[in-house]
Amino acid sequence: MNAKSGRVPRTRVVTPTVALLLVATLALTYLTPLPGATQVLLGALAIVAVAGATALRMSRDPLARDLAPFAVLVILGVLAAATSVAVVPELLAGVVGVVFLTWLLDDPRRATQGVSRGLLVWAIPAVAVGLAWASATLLPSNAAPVGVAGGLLAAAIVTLVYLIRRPELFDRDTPATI
Amino acid sequence: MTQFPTSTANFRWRARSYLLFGAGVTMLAAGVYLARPALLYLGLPILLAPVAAALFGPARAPTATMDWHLEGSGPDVRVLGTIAFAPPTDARDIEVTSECPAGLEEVAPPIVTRTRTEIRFEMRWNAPAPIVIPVPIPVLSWQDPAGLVERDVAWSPTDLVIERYPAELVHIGAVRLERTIAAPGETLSRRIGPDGEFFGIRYAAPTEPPRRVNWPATARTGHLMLNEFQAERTGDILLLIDARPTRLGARLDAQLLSLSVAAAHGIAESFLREKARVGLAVYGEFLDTVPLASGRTQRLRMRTALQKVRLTLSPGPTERCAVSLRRYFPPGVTTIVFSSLEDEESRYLILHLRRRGFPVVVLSPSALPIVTAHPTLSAEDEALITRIAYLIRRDRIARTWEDAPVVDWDDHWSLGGLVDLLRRPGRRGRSV
Repeated sequence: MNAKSGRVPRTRVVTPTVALLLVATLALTYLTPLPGATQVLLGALAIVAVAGATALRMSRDPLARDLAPFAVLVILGVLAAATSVAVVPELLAGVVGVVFLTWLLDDPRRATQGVSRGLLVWAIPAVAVGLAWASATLLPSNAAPVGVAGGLLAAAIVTLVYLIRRPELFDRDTPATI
Repeated sequence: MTQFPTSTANFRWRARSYLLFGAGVTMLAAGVYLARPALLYLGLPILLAPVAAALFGPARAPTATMDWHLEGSGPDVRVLGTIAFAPPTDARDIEVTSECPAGLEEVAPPIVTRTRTEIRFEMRWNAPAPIVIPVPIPVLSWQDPAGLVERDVAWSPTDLVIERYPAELVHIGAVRLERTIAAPGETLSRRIGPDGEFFGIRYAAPTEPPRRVNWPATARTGHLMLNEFQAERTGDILLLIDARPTRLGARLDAQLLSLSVAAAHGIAESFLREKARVGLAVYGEFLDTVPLASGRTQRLRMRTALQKVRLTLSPGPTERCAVSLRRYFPPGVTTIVFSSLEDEESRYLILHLRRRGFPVVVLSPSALPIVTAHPTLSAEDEALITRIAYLIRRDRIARTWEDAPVVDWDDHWSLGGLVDLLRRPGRRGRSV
């Protein structure tokens, strides 16, 4: 009944989002301003990371399944750090982040999975990335927006820490005890 | 099983959320520090996804009801159920987690079928030996499609107990038991049946046996009339479980105790169905008892008490059991002692019980069928050891027979020996 028992057909393990994530990651690798050999090495590592994470999320251990995206996050972080400061690679980095979320949603082990069913989970971040990219590239830049962005970033992190520590904020149930 | 939810118990971030939060914050910080905007663009969706997932889904704990039942017989255990949800909860968003109870083996992965409004499931287990154990209630939780947040489901399903015991025990209640003196004010239950004292006449159904037809009454009334008799079936039986550890070790002791509990449950159910009075005593360090009584309430008491039986860690002295037993039960009540007879203390227990006036029958579950072979032994050594263990057990049973009849329970799915023994009038235990 739970995800830890029962086999998943092999054809369902490699879903379209796995291929999409792989293509997006390799495209990000291609846009890094690194020597050819290093790019090939990073590309190979990206393939291994995506394949490994896809295999790990089929594991019987629930904690291993939950932590399967770690390898993909690491390789994406390395690639994004190595990417040049340019409009297209930056947009691609954001797109890769959204594709990563669709890969998370498309987990054949989980009964509640589904990219279309979890539309909000990737659509809200996608809109945020689009707004951020559009405002950064289309608006005139000077020193003030950098300060505003830094302040917003700090506020966002403080808000997130607050939300993590207070999960009941999302819960509108009346407590059974006083 | 009632749980009082606290305000924070209902909604939870899952481990994957913490992973994304950590990765997102690290990417944003690294992006600012290294002046790499690509890291900021990558970190932003990763950081926002758990918050978006938390906003997604029901604001309150979804409510569910479950209708489940058991099927199968003997070792075959099948649990079938339907979980229904009140709208607007979509049943496809609910994660169901169940576990196979200890003592049972999973035959096949659970089959789960989901529709928009309900979840149907079937679990198939195998019971290698008789067992009485409650089915663990499946854990339900609403999860977002990415598995980032979860919310408990509010429900309180009814308990379901797996009862698997030898088939012969179903009819053991027909054994006529010795009666003890009725307590002051006690009304002995009576049963209307095909034999005993004449009770009355009633209209006969077409399927009634002709022997019981009252022909004069039939001739007078013009209808087929039938004699009814009042059979006094009330008897008393005491089930005594020895829950003290033996030299077999904790694992085997626990398995044998589980067998004893299953047999005691079957015997109690059968006798209670026949309106007999049944009592229970469990001896570990001290004596825990359920006094003699009959009826549905007693059935519930017995079931509850049997589910609480555990192997004790500090065994009490043998004589204490017999002395304590006299405080709760009248002498002369037929007593079935469940004991593995693996040490001398068990034998002394029989002696002490007899001296205090309890006619005892010993039902001794054998550990030999469940002892696993040692991997380093050859087949010959294994056979030799099994033979020696068998002879030792036969010797111990033979010595116990000097004090009380013993049923060697080596085929765990059959208790015909006990039923036969109890049916024999002269063999139903001897008191001094």
